[in-house]
Amino acid sequence: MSSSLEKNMLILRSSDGEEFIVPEVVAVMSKAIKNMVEDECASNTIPVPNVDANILAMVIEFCKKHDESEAEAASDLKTFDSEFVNRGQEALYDLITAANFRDVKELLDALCQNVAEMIKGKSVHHIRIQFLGYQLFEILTSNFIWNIWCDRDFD
Amino acid sequence: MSGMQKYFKLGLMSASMSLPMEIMLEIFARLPVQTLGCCRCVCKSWHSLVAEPFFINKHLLHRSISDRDNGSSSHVILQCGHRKSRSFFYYSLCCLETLAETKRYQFPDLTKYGKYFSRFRLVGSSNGLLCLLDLNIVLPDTFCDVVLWNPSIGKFKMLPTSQIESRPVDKALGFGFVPHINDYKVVRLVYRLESIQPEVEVYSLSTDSWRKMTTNFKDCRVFHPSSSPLVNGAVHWKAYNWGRGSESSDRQQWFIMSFHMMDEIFQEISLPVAINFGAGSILAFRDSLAFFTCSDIWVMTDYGVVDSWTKQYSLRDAIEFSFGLMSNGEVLLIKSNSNLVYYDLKIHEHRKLKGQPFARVHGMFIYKESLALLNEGEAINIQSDQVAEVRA
Repeated sequence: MSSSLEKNMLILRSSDGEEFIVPEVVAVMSKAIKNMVEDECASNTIPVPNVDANILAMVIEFCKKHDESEAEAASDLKTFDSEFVNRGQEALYDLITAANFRDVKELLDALCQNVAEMIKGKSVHHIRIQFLGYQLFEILTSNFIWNIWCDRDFD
Repeated sequence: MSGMQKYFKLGLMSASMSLPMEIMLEIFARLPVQTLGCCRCVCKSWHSLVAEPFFINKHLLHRSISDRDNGSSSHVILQCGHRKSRSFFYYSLCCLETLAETKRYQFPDLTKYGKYFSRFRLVGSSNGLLCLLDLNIVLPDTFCDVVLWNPSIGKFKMLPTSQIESRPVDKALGFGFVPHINDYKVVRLVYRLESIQPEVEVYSLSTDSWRKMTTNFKDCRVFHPSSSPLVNGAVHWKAYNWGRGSESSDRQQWFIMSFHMMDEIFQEISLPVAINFGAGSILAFRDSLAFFTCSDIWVMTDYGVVDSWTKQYSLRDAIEFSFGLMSNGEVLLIKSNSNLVYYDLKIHEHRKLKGQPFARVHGMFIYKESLALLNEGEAINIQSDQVAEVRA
């Protein structure tokens, strides 16, 4: 550990080179980072590839909140979670990838729950648009039998 | 940006942004069964993903965990008689808190399987599957009389013909999911004219076959009321002992017979109070065994320990009833005379439920949806006009 840093602080470096100083307790909410710290293969700066500064900041914000509010009411945390994950498709996708890659369980849970809420009760058509881009799907498969099959069973 | 490009950019799964399969599984596990049905239609890989046995288990597990954490409102499924015809039933799914009907199901028409005069009775519900028993005793011997049915995905399974050959006089059934082995089991007790001892056989969904088992039954008779609650991995029936003479008290004569679904062992449990013939009903209350005697509710706080029976609730007025149900919240639902009565145990208020679907209830169970039987069952196509007829 470098002397300029307080004890139990880690530096996370995003893919575009920005550095974040984070308490260790917050950083180890990511299982991947936790393993690195435990195996003592972490120098004072931990590179976080595949995650840019914008997304990393969000992930850190999420982890900080969860670390602080352990004693807080669970309902407050739940409201925070649902507000936190309420983002555009692209940010959502980046966050899911980051959370999955860095293995942050709480964040991944909240994100998956959010995506599930997005498609809950929706029709096949809506789910296709949400997930595949309907026209892309049509172009890729041009499978009309599949459509007939769907409409029969579930709509 | 053209419309086409917009669509290309939108999708979470489109070529540029594709979520890994393990994430899709996490998302799917949080979806209700009906949305999963839609997801299966989205593309071929999702279709097979949802039908994977490990996913079906994951989904079930996730549902039970989130139910426990959120205390989400439980649903009750009612078997209701039709206004016009006695032999015609529909199944109504109601929210226990609001008592609003959320869905109506139609039992598959089995006439094309050669079952014409069936009188199916709802006898069990466990992890998304309903168990129905045909009470019509005058059956050709080769007919199956037990059907498992998953109403939320519209699949059913007729169980194979029983191994017990002779025609039964009476039968009792227990049904439940066994978590340790991820399997559904049905236990059947068959009484015949020739002997007072029942013959017992056990069915498991994974092997899809009945297996006879030997028992050490004394001379007792298991009565099969409308329910055999599943508590602590065992099903429970009310039973009566013939062997003990009339000089012994009633308390000894009536007892609870339990059958452990995993270990396949029968066990006797004493009742908390002496009861008259037929009065009282076994209920499940928050993973404990409970006994309702028209005026009191006894709960066995420590399963299997007779001394732990405690009188948890006393009703203000005794209510005559034929069968009942208890939710995790302090609500008692009982069928009294021809009415369904909703009893709030916290404030001791009860009210009669009127109108459909509460008017002609023949059976009721707590219901939790699942994907069980997705691969094994036969599909039913419900005609929409049939449903419309029921609503009329």
